[in-house]
Amino acid sequence: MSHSVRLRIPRTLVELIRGDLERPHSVASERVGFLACRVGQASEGELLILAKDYIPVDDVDYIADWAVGARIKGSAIRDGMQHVLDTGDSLLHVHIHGGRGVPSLSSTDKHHIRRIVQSFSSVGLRTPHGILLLSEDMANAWIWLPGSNEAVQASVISIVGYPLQLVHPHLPALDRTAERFSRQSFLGGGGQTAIARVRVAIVGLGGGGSHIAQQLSYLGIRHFRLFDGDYVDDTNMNRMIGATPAHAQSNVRKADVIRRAIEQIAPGAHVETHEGPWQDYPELLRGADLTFGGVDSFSQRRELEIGCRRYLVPYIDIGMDVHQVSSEAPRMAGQVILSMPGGPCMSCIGFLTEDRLSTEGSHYGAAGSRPQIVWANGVLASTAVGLATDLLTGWSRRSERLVYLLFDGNQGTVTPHVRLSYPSWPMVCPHYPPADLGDPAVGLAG
Amino acid sequence: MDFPEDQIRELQQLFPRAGRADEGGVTFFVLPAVPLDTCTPKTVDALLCPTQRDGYPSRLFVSQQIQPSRSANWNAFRILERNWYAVSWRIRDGLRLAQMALAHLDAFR
Repeated sequence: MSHSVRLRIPRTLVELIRGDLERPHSVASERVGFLACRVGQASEGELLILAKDYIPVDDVDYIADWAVGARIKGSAIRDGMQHVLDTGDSLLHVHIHGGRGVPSLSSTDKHHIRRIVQSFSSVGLRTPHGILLLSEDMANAWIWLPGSNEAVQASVISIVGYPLQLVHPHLPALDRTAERFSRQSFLGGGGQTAIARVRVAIVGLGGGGSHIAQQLSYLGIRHFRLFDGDYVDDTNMNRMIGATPAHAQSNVRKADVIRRAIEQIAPGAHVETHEGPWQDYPELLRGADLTFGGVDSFSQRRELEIGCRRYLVPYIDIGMDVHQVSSEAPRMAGQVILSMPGGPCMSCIGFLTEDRLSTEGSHYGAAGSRPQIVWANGVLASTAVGLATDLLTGWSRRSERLVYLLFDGNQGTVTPHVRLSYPSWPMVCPHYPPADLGDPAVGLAG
Repeated sequence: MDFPEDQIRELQQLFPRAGRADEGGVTFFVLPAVPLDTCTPKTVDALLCPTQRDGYPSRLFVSQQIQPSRSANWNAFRILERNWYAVSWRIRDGLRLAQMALAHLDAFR
């Protein structure tokens, strides 16, 4: 039985909701709507509610009642029930409370929401339903789990987009004026709080992942989930940050090396490590707010991206390679890619292609011993951490950012890939539609 | 992606609990509890991908590695939030869905 809930809503959907709810109505002082969601199970009983669509209430379904903000007809509720019956979705009643700060339920909300939830639950017995409140800058949500009469307040509401906004309705703002972060105060107090509270997953703890882990520790990240089933060996000693020859000789797990490195930089950080690949602990990956991938193969990247997209987790991928053709100088290249749920994926932008996956597959999936070197990994990792910092804090005030950076190791440059100048992909990814969110649902074959 | 209804019916005749799910723009047919009389294990769940993926025109993924197998090259995959395995086994083109599934299962005869 789940006992905590994380709600994730694509930023584009939040904007759609606000656009509808902020319109005036002739017989109501506020508008309401319904957020359709899919569900996913994360670790330790944590439930993920993943918003996929917004269902506005038609103008004609409002009843004039100036004693309350909005009153809607039974037909609107029945439409919601039909949606639950047809799709198996969870529904959240949603409306806006004016002002700033974390909104709370009004007496009217408390009075009416139980009956609405009961109506949806009567046709959707196995799915949670609830209510989402938005203020000008924050959100709050209460979810009734299947079979429960009491609501669970969402522990985190993620507005998934660029920037990534993480709302912790029940937590106060952290005092991040500690001296150790004084030099990065330009990130803003809210930014340092976001850094301290975000749950980060790092998949692959070799040359790239070890750099990322170290930098995130210095940055102020305090919640890590580390995935790498390998052990340190001599071939890692040219680049793995934190690894020593003693680790290689003693057959120490990479995850343990990085965990200790993090704990030395950030005592008190919460670091989870796991003995095998992330595929053996998928629920843990789902529960992360942001994932970094420093993996070896295109197929591994695809699997990571799929896992992240399904559960609305932004994914930052890094990698490098060195090619040599005949007698020419080696050519070093790498990438930093942000795969933002809803936006173009790594297939959309032409990084993951059938050709690349086929070539890899023809070698039975073995990535081989790709060339790796510490300074190139450092450039890529630093770029990824810088990207994540902006994503979490919004310090650069950029938004809706499509990130596909190409590292030219010969020139020493990191520049936007030329493909971004001539986009040939839809801005909404067709490979990962909202209907595929959450735990997979296997339908009838026909 | 759409598939001919008659082929789907044929597939369901062989695998009555066959289901369908999409991921990453690819359609998979889920075949629960496929019996393997002469193998270990005796039953596996299977996943038929009837379209081009990773250089294979079609492929069958199974929930556990199977012995014996006419191909020894097993690889692991994660699809539809489960771990699967597949061997390097190619079949001829132009088969119907049910024929495709059976041709892939030939790898374990």
